[in-house]
Amino acid sequence: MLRYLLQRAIAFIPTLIGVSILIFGAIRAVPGDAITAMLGTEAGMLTETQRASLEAYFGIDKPPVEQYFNWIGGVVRGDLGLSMRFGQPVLDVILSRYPVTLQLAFMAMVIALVIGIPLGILSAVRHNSIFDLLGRLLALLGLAMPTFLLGTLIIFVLSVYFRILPNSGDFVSFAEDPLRNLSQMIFPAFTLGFAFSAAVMRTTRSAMLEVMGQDYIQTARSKGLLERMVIRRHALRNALIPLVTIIGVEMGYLLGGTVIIEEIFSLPGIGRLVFNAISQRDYALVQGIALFVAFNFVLINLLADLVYSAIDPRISYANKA
Amino acid sequence: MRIKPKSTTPPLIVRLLRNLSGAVGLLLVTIYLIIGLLGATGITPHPTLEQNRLDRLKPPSAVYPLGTDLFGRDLASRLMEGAANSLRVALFSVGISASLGTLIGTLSGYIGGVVDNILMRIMDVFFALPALLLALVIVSVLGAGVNTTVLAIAIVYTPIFARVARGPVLTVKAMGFHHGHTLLGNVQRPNDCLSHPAEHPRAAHRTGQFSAVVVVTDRGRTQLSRAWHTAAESIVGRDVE
Repeated sequence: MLRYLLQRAIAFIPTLIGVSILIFGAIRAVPGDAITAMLGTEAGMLTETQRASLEAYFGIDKPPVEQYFNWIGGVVRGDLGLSMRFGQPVLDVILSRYPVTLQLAFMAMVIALVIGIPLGILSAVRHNSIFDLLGRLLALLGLAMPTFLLGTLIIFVLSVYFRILPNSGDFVSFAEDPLRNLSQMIFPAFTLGFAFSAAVMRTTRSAMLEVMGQDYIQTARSKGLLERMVIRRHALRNALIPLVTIIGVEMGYLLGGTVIIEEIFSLPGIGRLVFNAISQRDYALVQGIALFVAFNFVLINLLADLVYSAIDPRISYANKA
Repeated sequence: MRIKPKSTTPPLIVRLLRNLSGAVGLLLVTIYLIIGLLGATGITPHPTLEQNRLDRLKPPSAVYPLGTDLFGRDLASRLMEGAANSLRVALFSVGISASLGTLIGTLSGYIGGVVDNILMRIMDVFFALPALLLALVIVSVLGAGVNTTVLAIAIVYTPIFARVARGPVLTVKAMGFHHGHTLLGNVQRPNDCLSHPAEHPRAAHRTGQFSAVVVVTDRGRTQLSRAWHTAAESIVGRDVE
């Protein structure tokens, strides 16, 4: 098991190096220079010496290849560089925004699972019934409705008909004021969660339908188990594998930040951070976020693979070379 | 010598019409295509950019089927033009990523070994890279537009198609009939691979992907141009920032 984990961890390295090279090159291909983007019109007032010393301070005066190796050298030691926009270490900036994204992703996921799994089971167990029809209709709605539309609609309905502005004022963290934080997070989380619940519902439904037709379900029933137990212990558990796959993919996507939802609901998450970082040519920050998100992504993939073996003991990594 | 068996399955269109959801789906797609084609050729009720200051924010009427926006532009006409763009983007981005991704995935799985390893690691890089970030950078470098959007989406989707195509190839490679082909003296060539294993899941995935990409396109375009801002503002009637 330990050996497997180690192997996987080593396999991360080429992927992350690839990501780092790609993003390093790509962000430098964006026209415009970082100093001008940082200072705006004031950049025109800089003397040559001032500009040169600023460039030296942020380490962008050297040739690109040298910059890259300087940056990677820092990354290995846990130093992602200095953000030009914030004047703070990139890692600090990312970590200050990350809790918002993490909380949003987690809440959206919980909402999606709470809506999607029961509906999916019900749809499969009562195949072709009215529940099935309604469930499928809801899923279609969730898939077809873009999140920006649902998000905007929620704001519209709340503000015009209920006179509540869901996210007025500054963002408060959960630690500061849990209730106020939840009132700010619940609607964006629902918007994201509803869209994803459709995928969860459909995956659960099709996996359950397949499992319910298997012989061992027949066996479980004929040995006199309650239908409830058959569904929970025998059917659902075996239907969970494809579900874990899509949860992994979706979680990776959510943790990368969701620009639209964060913008609509004014949440200070990773998505808006990266959007602004690109427009401000904040090289170190863009690179840092890309690497951070990519690392998240491979980590979640690994986690999903581990969950597979927890759900289904037949999938084991213990003895694999 | 190959004898082509006479197909007993009726043509696709007949099969679609026999099935209720198939018929409904066909109808919807046809309507969308007609709207898109009209939009693409510029046959819209009003010119899409024509502003009519006196008819700002009007509800639907005989003159303006879907009403007007903040600048008195006809929403129906603008929607038709938008549909055309979405279709164009979906068609090309899925076309490119499906052919490229399937080719890479099939070859990678078929050849195996070092080639498979290298190709798949490259795909992994694009997979792990945040899609949005990649799209934003591409748009910042090349400027916004239909072609850039196609490129951005194609890059994001290619590794997905590659993975989907590779899986079944590996499965079929391990199956008997593939080995049989080799034993019969058929030259191993990637073509075998394309004709046998990949077809089914590929087709299923592609159709699913197409609708998904239309949605993604709309989302992507909106977020890149921040058009939702104006949309949200005109609905809520305040600055949304």
